[in-house]
Amino acid sequence: MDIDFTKEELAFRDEVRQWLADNVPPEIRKKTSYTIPLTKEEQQGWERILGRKGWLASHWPKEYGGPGWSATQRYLYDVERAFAGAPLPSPFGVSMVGPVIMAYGTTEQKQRYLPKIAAGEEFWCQGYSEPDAGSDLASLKTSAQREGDDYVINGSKIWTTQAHWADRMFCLVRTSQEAKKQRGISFLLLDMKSPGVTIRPIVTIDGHHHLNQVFFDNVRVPVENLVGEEGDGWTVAKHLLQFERTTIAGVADSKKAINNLKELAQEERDGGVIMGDLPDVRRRLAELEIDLLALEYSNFRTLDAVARGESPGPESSLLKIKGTELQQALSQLRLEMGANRSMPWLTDQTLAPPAFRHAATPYFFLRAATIYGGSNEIQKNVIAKMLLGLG
Amino acid sequence: MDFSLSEEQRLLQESIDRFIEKDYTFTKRQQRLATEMLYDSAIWQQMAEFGWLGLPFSETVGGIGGSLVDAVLLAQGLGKGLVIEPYLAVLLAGRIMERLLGEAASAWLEGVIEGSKVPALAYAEPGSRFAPCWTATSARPVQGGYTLSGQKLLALGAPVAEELLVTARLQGEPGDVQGIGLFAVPAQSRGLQMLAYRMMHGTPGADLLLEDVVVPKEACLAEDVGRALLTVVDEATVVVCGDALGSMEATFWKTLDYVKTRKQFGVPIGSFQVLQHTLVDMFMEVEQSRSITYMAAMQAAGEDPIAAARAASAAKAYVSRAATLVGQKAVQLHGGMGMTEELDIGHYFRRLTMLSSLFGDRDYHVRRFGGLQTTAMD
Repeated sequence: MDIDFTKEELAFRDEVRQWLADNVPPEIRKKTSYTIPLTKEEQQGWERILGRKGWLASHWPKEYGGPGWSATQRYLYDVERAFAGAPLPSPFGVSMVGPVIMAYGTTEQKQRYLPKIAAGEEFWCQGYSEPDAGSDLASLKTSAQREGDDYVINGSKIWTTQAHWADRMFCLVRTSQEAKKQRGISFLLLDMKSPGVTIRPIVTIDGHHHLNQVFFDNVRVPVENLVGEEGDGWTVAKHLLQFERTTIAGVADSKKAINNLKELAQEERDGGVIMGDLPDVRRRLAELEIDLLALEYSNFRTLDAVARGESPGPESSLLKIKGTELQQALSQLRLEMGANRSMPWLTDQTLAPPAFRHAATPYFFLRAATIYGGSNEIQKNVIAKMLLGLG
Repeated sequence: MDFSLSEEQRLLQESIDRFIEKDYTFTKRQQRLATEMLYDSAIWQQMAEFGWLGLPFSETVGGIGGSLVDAVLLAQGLGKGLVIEPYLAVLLAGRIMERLLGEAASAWLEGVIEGSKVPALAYAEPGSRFAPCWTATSARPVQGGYTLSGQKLLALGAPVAEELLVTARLQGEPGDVQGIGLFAVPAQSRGLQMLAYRMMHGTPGADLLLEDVVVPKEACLAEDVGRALLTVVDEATVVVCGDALGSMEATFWKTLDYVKTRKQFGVPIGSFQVLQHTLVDMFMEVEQSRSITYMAAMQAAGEDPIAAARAASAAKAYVSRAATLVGQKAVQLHGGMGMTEELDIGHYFRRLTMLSSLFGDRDYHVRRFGGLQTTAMD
């Protein structure tokens, strides 16, 4: 066991740090630091800067347009990225569908989609959940009927993050009613501009528009957009989950959030005392930092196991549960430190400093973190069943 | 010992429930929030006619003479109905006037009770998260009056009030209970900048910037208001517990309903034991909150100011944590639906988040409760 970085790794970190300092646009840095939602133009603008540098698909191998970094390099990069005030790339392309296409896609699919993802030229969204298929995803009903060289899609997907930004969607559809429910599911890629696709915005309790419901009315998708075999969608989707592991714990951004809170606690006073000297605030900050350390090292252990070729297992459920709980706790502490200054709703017309003025947005939106990507209750079922042999 | 409600109290509850059902449905409230209109005079007038605006004031000043228990029951009903009208501003501003001026407050209170004017009390400041007497805003005597300078935060109802009651320091340092004056400041005063907004749960509020605001001598309503301020904020704190209790009850019942009807894996999700236990946790928090809120409402009627203050802090410390837990769990159990503006659950969660912080969060009240055991009231 050894947790020190090599000289080369430290030199790499310095190079990354310098480049980020020179290239993250100030407006993006400011908004990300205060957790103000970015516009599509801002998000895409930044992703294209990264894409030109070759760092957008940071965990992809060189042959597909990634930098070919080691697990350690990726970790170092991600922490530097968070501390430079740069947002995570939209995950649907680089973290989700990209790796799936690498593993299961045809040569044509690889050539057609991967370069545009790595360059930040195309946004993707994920069509999994449906109104009646949330935690019970395998009961999804959106149908894909084969007609000649096309599938004809009918149905609806919900909670689709950034569907209103996306050029393309990867989705799970039912191609057979007969087979056992997982076996009737296929993994399809579709163009969001296809006739018959409509998008209904869903405003969330943070007051912003991130989510959507997407409706399909006889949408025609060429058969060549099938990834893997027909009926293999469930297997493909499960494969996808392991690629979420690199960011699922959210270590880098939580590290930055704690750092921001500590600075804020030193700048702000409460009743004549520096907030960071208040026993309650000190204790809570310390507890969260300790939780983060445990999470960070759990994350390292998982990355190390994957790097040694061990097959990724349900440990990622632990990272998801603990990581999302920590994100929620950090956003709650910020809101509570802000107190009266965080209570005006969606306005710049207040006397509050920006860090407090915008504290409610992540507090409310991050309630979704324990719901999406498999709710934390479902993740616990996974651990109980797969790791503990219960049930 | 008697925890039963009187006939009048039951009638009060029924009248609130009917009002919500008929005139304050979630749909109407949503339509209202979609507009810029901060104040609905028809609704406010209705609340006055029901006697709700006069409820907390004694009959000698023209009020209904309700107890703090009555005020808590009213708040509970309004919380259950997600009412956004600034009734807490009436309580804060009206009660401090009654306490300071006695019968002489009746002329001022008349318009408040009949609903023709909305009052507002601006006391909170950036220097302290919650201590009411951390008053740094200064009142300097000048020829014929005073000039006021400082900052106020989250003044409930201020954007719809014509006149603001502002605390400002005549003597001493922030934190001193002594030396705080109460001033009547017209909303249109020169040097007063009002940053108006809706608070997290929809009620109008404002931050105030006072830069050498000149007021006449008679604008100083009282010269040493620290004790009265603490008492009134304690009363309002107990009332907020009532509002949170009503919001929690509604949240709990709606969530219980949802898990019985929402099906996944072919069965209602309420059949899963892990979710059953979460519902039980929520239920217990609601009941414990009810107990401690009623305790505080009854304690406040006693003679001992320290006992009343301790009771208010105990209730708020408990209810703040319970409100956060119930709101968070309700969203979690509703899944994606709980995250939407379309469903009322998210609005209850926002209200509970707001109330959890208002007049002091859990940490503040735990600390205050502990400190009040041995030392004098702060």
